[in-house]
Amino acid sequence: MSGSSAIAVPARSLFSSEAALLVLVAVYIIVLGLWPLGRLFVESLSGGASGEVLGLLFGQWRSAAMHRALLNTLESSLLATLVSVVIGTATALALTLTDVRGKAALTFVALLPLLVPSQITALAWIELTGAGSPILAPLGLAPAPGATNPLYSVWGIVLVMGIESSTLVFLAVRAGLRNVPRDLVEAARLGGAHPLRVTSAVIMPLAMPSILAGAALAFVTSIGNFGIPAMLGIPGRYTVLTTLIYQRLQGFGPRVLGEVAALALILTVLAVAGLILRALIVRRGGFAAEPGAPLDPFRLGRSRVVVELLLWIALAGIAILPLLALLASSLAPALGVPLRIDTATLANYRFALFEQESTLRAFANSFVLALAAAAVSATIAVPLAYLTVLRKNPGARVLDLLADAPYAVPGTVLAIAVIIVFLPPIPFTGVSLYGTLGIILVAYLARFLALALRPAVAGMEQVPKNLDEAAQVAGAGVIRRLRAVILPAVAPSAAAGALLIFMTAFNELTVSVLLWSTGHETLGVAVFFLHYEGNSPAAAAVAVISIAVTLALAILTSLMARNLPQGVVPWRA
Amino acid sequence: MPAALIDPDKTFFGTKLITTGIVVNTRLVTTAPTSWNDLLAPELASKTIMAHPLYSGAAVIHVGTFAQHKDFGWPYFEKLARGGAIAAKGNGAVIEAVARGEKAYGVIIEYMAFNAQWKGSPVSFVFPREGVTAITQPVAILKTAKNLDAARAFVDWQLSEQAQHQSVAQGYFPIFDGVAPPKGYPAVSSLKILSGDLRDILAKDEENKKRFTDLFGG
Repeated sequence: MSGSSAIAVPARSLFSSEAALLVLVAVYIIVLGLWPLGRLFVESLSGGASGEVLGLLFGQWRSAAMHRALLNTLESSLLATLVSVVIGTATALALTLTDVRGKAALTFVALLPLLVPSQITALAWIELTGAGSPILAPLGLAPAPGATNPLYSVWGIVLVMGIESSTLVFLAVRAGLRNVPRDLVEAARLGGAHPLRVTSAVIMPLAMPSILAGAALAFVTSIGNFGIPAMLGIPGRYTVLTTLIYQRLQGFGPRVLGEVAALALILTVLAVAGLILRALIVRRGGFAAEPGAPLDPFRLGRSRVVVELLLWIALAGIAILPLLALLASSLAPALGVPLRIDTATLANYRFALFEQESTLRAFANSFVLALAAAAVSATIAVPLAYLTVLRKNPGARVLDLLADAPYAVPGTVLAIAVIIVFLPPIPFTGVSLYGTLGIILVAYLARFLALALRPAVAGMEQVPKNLDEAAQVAGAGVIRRLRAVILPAVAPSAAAGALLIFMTAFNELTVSVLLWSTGHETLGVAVFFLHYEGNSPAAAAVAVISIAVTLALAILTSLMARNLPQGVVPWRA
Repeated sequence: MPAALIDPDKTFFGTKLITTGIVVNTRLVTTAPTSWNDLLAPELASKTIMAHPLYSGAAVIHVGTFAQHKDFGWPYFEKLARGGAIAAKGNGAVIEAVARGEKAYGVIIEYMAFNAQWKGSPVSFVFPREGVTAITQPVAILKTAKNLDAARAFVDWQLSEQAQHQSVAQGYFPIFDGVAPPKGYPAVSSLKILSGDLRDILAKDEENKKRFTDLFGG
């Protein structure tokens, strides 16, 4: 990138090209995300067939199915949040405050559920806890033959969803513990307080805002979860809002869009309430003290081995055992046949990778969708982060906030919004995106921009402002500055964001299950329907392959993250 | 072609036969039921799972046909429900539950049971002696069809022996007696098909789904 020719650049109006860039980003965010969400809310507040004011909403509000689904959503999400708080807080305390060995490995295992998508987690747990469990049955711990899998119940949903969102609490509490002022803890220790007392009387009250903020996030994630209540709740006749919306759309098609829009509004209100609660907690609980030096870990002495053993047993049981059961199921010749060395087969992998066209297509479709979503989102995120951070452009700051909306609402809500807007033909073209891969891409672009934006902003904050100003004084236009000066500096952060999007989109189910069509299946949909059709061994094989891809990418991202600023990779210490 | 597969006024034609019978888990069941009524015994009903008409077309026909049938009618489903039988969503959930040994008996379309059996799952399929209900994946030409010749050619091909061999390879019953059924299937001519009045089933579709859902949830 030689700048020798830049000096002669004519003095174009810098303001206008910056404004043009802003308009471009604004159009992108509005068309893909905000306009559909706005239309959804208008639609859900309309009169419906009866013409009554707010008829659709009242119609749903009076429906018994909605009441049950709403209560079930609240019940399962609150209980799952409780589970996630217990697991996430205990793990974070043990790994941050004590001198247990192998912290890196334990942290990796604790965060493993973050990398496994919901439908695969649920499938893995079904394999682990069924009557024919490849792991529990040989130990005599599986349910008796003829007994229904105990996970097909509210408790199954609570357990699996709680484990999945425990990672969010873990990350929040770990970050909170890092901000506990060292002086306070040292003072308590010098005063002779027992480590348990220091923890309960000094550290826990200081960490409480982080715990609550993590809990609020776990709650919001749980109410929007589709994969777990779909795989465990549908057989268990336990319907939540996301599965009710799916069943209505599946059963009746786009003619019930108005009704499901009203359901989506209720779901949105729950999510927004959780997010506001979280924002209030974060604001009120903000630490005045500087992060400062990390706390000295408590020495556990002789009980260290016991704590280490307990941690490994608990975390491996939560995160690794189900995946082993999934792997075993993928190697079994048929449903209900216990895995033995002499019967183990790769037939399910052959079926998934070479024989069934729809599964093959799903791999290709998800690869293309994830790649496109990652590349385009990173391309949009860099100029927006630039305008927000370095140019301090007020319009860009607003856009930066608004870009979070399609990610903050549950995926089900966004999918319905996108159907409402993109089902009719696009004006002047006569072409409808409905029934094409395009509509899934639109939803992914809207949803995942936020994932690229955070790393881009974090990266941009490391770029010295005078670098940009120097290039501007030298006469470089905004596009040229972005390309030659800004991009090289933030490229690693942007790439990390793109990788995050790829991993998330590659396994995505909640959005695509409402938008897919024959020929346009995604990998998440393939796993979900293979299981639905009674071919769980093949579903397990597809799941194992997609987890392998995700893990490889996560490791790549972690390796990259060593050279990246804080906050770019969410799970990084 | 069995008469049950042909629309009386020849508006549409069945292209294959998909029948609904009983699948059993061979590890849990030593003496397989032979009659639909065997499932009504409480110790069997409580271990039985069915496909739900809200989610399965074959179940729509199965429930609709039984509801009309003088020997079964709605009391049949009421007894099943009282005995503790449950309705899954689709046929996939039925084979999942029976092959895994979570349920001993399932009411399901035959090829799903046979496919699982061929792969080695501990299941076998029973054609109850009263007969099986059947769907036919019919083909028809729209009055408004723009390319009538191609449509005719397609329908002719669907009803040809060649197409029938293809669907046999996919695990479906053929509609002609001359075409050998998949391995392990009885001859089509030996099948006893419980055929219902389709117009009546169509007219009562919503009512049937509602009654079934009242009994088994939805």
